[in-house]
Amino acid sequence: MRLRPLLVAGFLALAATGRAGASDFVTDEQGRTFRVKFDPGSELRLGMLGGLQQDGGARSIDPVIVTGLGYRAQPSGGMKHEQVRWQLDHRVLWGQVRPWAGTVEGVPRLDATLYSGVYLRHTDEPFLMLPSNPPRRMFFPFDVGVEAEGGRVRVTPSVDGASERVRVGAARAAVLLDPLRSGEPGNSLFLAVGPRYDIDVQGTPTITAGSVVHRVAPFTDVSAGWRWQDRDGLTSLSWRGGWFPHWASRGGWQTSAFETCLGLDRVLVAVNDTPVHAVLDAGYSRYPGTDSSATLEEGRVLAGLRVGWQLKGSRPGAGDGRKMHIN
Amino acid sequence: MPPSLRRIAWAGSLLLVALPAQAQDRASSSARSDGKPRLDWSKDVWCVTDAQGREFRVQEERLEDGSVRLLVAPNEEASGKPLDRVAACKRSNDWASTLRIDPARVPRVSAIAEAPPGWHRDHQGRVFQVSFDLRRRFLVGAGWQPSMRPDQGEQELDRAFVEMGLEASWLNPDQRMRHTIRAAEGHVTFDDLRVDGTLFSYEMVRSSTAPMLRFTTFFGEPQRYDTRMDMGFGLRVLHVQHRPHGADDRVDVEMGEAHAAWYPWHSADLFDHVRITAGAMGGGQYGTTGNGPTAYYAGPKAGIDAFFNLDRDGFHYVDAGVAGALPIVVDGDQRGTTRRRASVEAGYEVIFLAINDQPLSLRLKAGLDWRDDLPDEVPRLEGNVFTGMRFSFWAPARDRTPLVPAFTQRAMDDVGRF
Repeated sequence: MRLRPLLVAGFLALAATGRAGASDFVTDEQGRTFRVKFDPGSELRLGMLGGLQQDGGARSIDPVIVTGLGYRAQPSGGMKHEQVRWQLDHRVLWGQVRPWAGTVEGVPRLDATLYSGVYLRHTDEPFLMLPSNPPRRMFFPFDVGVEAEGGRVRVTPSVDGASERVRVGAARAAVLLDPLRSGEPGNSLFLAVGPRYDIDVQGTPTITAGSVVHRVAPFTDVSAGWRWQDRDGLTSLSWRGGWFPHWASRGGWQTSAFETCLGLDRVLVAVNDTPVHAVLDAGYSRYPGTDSSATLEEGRVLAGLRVGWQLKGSRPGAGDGRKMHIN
Repeated sequence: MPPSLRRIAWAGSLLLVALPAQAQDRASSSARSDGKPRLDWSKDVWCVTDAQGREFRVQEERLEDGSVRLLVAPNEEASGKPLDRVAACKRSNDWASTLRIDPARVPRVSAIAEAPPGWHRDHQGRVFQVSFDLRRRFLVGAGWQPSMRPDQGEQELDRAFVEMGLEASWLNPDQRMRHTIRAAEGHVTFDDLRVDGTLFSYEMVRSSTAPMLRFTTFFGEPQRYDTRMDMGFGLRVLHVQHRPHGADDRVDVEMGEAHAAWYPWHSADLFDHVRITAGAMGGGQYGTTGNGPTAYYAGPKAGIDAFFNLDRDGFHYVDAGVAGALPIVVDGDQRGTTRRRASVEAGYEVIFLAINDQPLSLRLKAGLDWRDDLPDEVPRLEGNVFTGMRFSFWAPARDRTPLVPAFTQRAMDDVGRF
């Protein structure tokens, strides 16, 4: 019987001194294990924001629901100094829904993307090979990558007599150059250029009497972006801005298309190891109209909370962290 | 050593121990018994007999300065009656050598024999209970119960009541559960005869070791805060109200009730608590003049209640509760009609006397009860005040032993599995 208190004391001492190390979990002096590192790139997110939104000439403050499933994979390979580390960010059903801001044919106002991905390739010693004779190797000061997006849908109900619009971003792709070359997850500064193809359906007063507009940007979609997150994944910041001159089936060449967004994300508290984030989101876009509709300007400044159910996480061991301390 | 010599040596050493102690006892007999040291119930006690054949209870006491002294208490009451409720003592002629002391050199102090936890022994050696657990008792009580009906401007001040009830509540530390049963609990008021009673009820609460919600904060060093979701459940069988709110020709019989309970707070022994309940009930209202069943009902109910023992020894108790129910008529002309009930009450009980270790307590309770499931001529709102005395049987000493803290329990479980 006297052995048990000794075992308990020894166990508690082990648990208290045992830090989770490289794992995402730590153990406090009471032997309780909890998560302190998160991966904002790999989570199922759901939240609600509120704030000021401007749609054309109308302003509103109706709430916004944010959704999305993200997954970040980081495969790597190669020898020392020539190691290649990929950062593959996948996002599914990523966007914002405004259920109380009107509908188009029963579909609420939304801006959501079926799939988008950023695939960034980092090497410790990037280089260019010139096919001269003999071939020459030159230092190349960028990480390179590819961005792809398909199935972006923006539903815009009529506001103050303006057109109802459904804009479908059928496909978008870009080549990325990252001069920051951090190699750290969630940290990059990129310049991108690529093609995009959008289909707009718009009509006044309703979309049922609308027309279809095809918009093609032949490698004229130019954008830049920066994203940063701390090592523990508690705070992240992102900015993106893009200009995409394009040809439209109605109206010809359009050069006023522009969009930018800024996001700040901070974990406030974790409930059962699931982080609750404070979110600040701001954005502005200018989207050209046609010969029968005006240019659409949209802006937003939103703040709120969201939950990020983590899809990954390195525990102290395969099972309960406290047991691993004993081992 | 031959037995005869050993007996002589034993008697001599006991004489050295007992006589001065007895002299000191006499000398200090006028002093308050509280000034005397007391034998510790949890430590070994030796029963030794002096040369005159008198038996004493002896206990070694180690003082804070490292010195040792012997506490010596008579093994009988001043009246010569054997001591009640003493610990089993050891008997050995070699007690001094077992304790590794020299009785001739160790100071001896006259003391009062030990008493079990929750009991007190006076300087005459009489023992009596000084701690009570009023959640383990059979009670009978009586008192004055004025009643008010504010919506009709009526009040009845000439009413009295008698009550009874059995309650047993016990803690199971291994399962981290407290079980409470109540039976044959109720009161009768007169001369405006009414009855309110419950045949049987049961409550269970479990203190979980795993937190329901764990909060981690990230301002500065990450910190974890656990919130436990200690749940329980309860049921009640046959709750009868004869002439509720003074309604003539009416008996409300709640056949059964069951509820889940969440304990947002409870004491370490699950005795005091704040509880939120939600459940359902079913029963019927009957006419008492042969008209047969009037209506059966079933519906949800919910409530919040609290119970606190305010002092260490279980003398002061406070309870309060708010409850509501929505009985839905399930037969007859009014089938589907939803009725409403609501009540609020608060009470206090204090023990002021004990007779043969059975506590006599003062009970104060006030409550408001509102319901619209009675005939229209019956007032919906009624206030009652209970002022009376209760005599409780059984009511053992209050055991405040807490449960093992949750994280320690988890660690012990882990070690056990390991």
